[in-house]
Amino acid sequence: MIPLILLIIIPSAFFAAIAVFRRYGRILSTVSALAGLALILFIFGSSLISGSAAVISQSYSYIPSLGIQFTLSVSNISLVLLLMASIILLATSLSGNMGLEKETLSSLLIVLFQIGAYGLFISGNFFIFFIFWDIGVIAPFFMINVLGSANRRIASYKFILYELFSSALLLTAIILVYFYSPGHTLNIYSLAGLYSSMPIYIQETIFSLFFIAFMINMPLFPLHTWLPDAHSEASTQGSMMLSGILTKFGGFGMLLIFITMPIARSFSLYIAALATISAFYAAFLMMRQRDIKRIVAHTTIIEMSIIMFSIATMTAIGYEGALYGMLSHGLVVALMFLAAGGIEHMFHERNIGVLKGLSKYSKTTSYVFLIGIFVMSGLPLTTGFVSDLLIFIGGINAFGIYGIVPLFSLILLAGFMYLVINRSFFANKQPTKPSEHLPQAAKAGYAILLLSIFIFGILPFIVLNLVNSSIL
Amino acid sequence: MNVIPAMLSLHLALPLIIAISIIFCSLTLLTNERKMYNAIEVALFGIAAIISFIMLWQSYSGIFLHILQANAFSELLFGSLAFGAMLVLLLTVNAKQQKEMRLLMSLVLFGIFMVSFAYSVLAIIIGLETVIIATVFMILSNGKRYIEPAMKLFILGAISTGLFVAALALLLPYNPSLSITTSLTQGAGRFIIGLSLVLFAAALAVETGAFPFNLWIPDVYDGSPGNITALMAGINKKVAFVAVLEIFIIMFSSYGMYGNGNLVSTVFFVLSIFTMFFGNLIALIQKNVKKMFAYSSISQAGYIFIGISAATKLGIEGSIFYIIAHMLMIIGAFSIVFWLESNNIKNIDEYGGLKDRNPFAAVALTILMLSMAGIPPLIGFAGKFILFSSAVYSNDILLAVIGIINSFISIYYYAKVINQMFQKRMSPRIQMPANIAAVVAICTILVIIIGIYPQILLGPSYLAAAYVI
Repeated sequence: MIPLILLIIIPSAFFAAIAVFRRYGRILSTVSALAGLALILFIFGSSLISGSAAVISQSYSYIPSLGIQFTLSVSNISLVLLLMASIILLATSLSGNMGLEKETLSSLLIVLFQIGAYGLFISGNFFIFFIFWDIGVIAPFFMINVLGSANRRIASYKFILYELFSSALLLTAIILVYFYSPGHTLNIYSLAGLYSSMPIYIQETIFSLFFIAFMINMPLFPLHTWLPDAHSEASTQGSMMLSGILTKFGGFGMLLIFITMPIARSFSLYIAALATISAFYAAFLMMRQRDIKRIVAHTTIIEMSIIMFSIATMTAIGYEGALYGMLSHGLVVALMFLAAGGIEHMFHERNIGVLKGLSKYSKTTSYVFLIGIFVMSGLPLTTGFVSDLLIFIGGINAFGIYGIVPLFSLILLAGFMYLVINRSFFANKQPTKPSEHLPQAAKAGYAILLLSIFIFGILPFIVLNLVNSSIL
Repeated sequence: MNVIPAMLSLHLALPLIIAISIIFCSLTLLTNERKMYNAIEVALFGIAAIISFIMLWQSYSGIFLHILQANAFSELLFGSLAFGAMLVLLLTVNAKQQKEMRLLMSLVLFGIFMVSFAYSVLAIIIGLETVIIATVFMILSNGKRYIEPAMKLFILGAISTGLFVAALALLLPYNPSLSITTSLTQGAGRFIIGLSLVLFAAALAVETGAFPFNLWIPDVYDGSPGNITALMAGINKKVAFVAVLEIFIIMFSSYGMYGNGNLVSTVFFVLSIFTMFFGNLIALIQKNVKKMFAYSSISQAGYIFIGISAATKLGIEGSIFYIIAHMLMIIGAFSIVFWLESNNIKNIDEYGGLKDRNPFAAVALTILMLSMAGIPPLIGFAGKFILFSSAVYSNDILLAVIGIINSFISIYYYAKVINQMFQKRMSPRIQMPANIAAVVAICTILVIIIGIYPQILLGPSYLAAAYVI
């Protein structure tokens, strides 16, 4: 097994390199994403071949006086999310910063976010988890604040306040776990059997704190209001990272606490109900939006609510569905934001009421957007189908016929999206003329994301075989 | 006889360096100014810090004349504070009144020495007083318009000393040796000790800026020139914290008044909560960056009290760690404020576009502020994590939760400045003098390095805490 710390050291080295060789920022960030992808594919391949179900952990001495170690672990969940994150990061840095001149800063922030994302997904204890959680929040903050569009200041402010409130709750929960766990351990995976030895009210407090913290990040109704602003005001690359990877931090945490904490069972029904409400609420909100980036941002809330619903079923198939859903949603939402960014770059306009007949002058982007909608509404041969299938089988297993209810929010999503497509993309009356061309690099981004969507859609067993052996 | 270890002992090396420094500065008052003098003085400060760290390395300990004693605690804190004083001295290299500043800074070094190596309460009071008087003259040396803050500081110093002496007088009949480690003789009633404790608390609350004795801090910090503000926030306050640790923990625990649930813990529990909220809530509405940092440094003092209130080794370790951490952060931040002040940039609005005017300053100030807000992986987070866990360890979950709420509140006003700095404004670039840039760079790099691997500072803090409690 290769040392997992390489996944943190390599991006850090590239971060330093970009700070020194400012002119080659974009190339270096792409190379960094490629190196990360190669490493993760290697780890993924080796655990696929060996079929090992165990969590692999590596520890280094960190703070001996508190008994805290620098523990890095890969479980099957984190492997899948790492794979997703590195594909998105590669597409993000490859497609470049459309129409904006601050290429170096943008590349620096992408690599910083890469450190945060990799570190979070391979963290073996909650202390490390928290450190990388906050690194993962600071990078997008600047992505919005410096590189964003007109309302970026308010959006970034909202974003940082919500996210750091969530990290304050997380810190409280972590300190409580540290204090009440036998032997003062913070190890995420070995805590699984230890929660039941804590008093019930402490378990409930810890669970609620974790839940609210992750819920803000995912996000779920009623704590979702930061997301549409943040995602629509960020630069294209920022939106791709925020929607594609940052929201998965919360999903990852949710999976971990639902799998490891037995107390979750007493909350699961309410949480499933909340997730359903959240999905429908976001779907209705989405219908009022006219800004194409805001529309895509609202689909994130819908999809993440359905993923939360799937986690709350607390069945093995539901967890698999949630994990596959996160993989699918990460890839497709990055694709949609890239397409939306392309439209904004070409037409200098994001209002779907003004945009007409886009497919006449920008065929590629229009069809990419269309495919994105197909994936979201669960077309077979794409990742969306596999994840929806697993999620709703899990839902029926857990809640009977009511388990199918959230599916209707996806139907609302699809219905509204076909309306958008029909009106703005394929109706050919007085088509809007583009003022700029789509950069070739963006097409490379489309290609990578589409390719991985179809690979994981046609060959879902690559991931499912791994996850089937053991979810952790 | 081994010559070098003997040279490094308390009897010789440190007092010698300080004496050389004071004599050297007094002599240069009489001559024409040369650039080299400043370099020599900075080097002397650096040597003092290094000697102290070497003593720590060699785990040297000893008692000198029943007034001073050396141990891990005093060596770590003297070394760190001398290092901080060196940074502040570097800030003032280009000032007009540098001759006076040099002499007064070496007096401050003497004060730091007396307080951190104190064995008798007398040494503590001498040290504290020296630091305050030297600071008063430093402010005055900048011209007539600084009389007001100097006067305020002088009067508050006098009040603090008065309270301190009164507290000491109550204890004197029962502890004639005035040493901080001996226990009281028979006959001392709880009432007398309690009264003395409250007076000590008031005296030191004035100097550490604890609620409700902290209203002078924003006035004096804002009124003084930036480099002296850095000194007051970075060094003077921390020296007072060293005195707090010595008096309340070493001395009162030998009187049996310290421990979880005991009187000292309770006092600091209350002080901590009020200090944190007071500083943070008022900092929210500040328009002037210097005042904002003044209030923020008040609230940061509250975090240090959390560890003292926890009354465990972990808590003291966290407090010592955070004293040094905050010294680095606040000296760095006030250096940038000092430099911008000399360019007539004072309000948060005027910080707009700093990223384009001087990217280095904007990035460094961002890192320092994120660290103060407790964002990992920076030094502030490591310190806060230990302080909050120590509170939970001694069953003060409330205190930990309030601490976390306060770090969250503080994000609001730090983010306000960060938000401004990264806006686009068309303004000319401004150059940062090399000496200030060096100070800022040193502070920022240390904040990042110790933040990523906190064991560098936690190990010595643990040794120091083991001596204290």
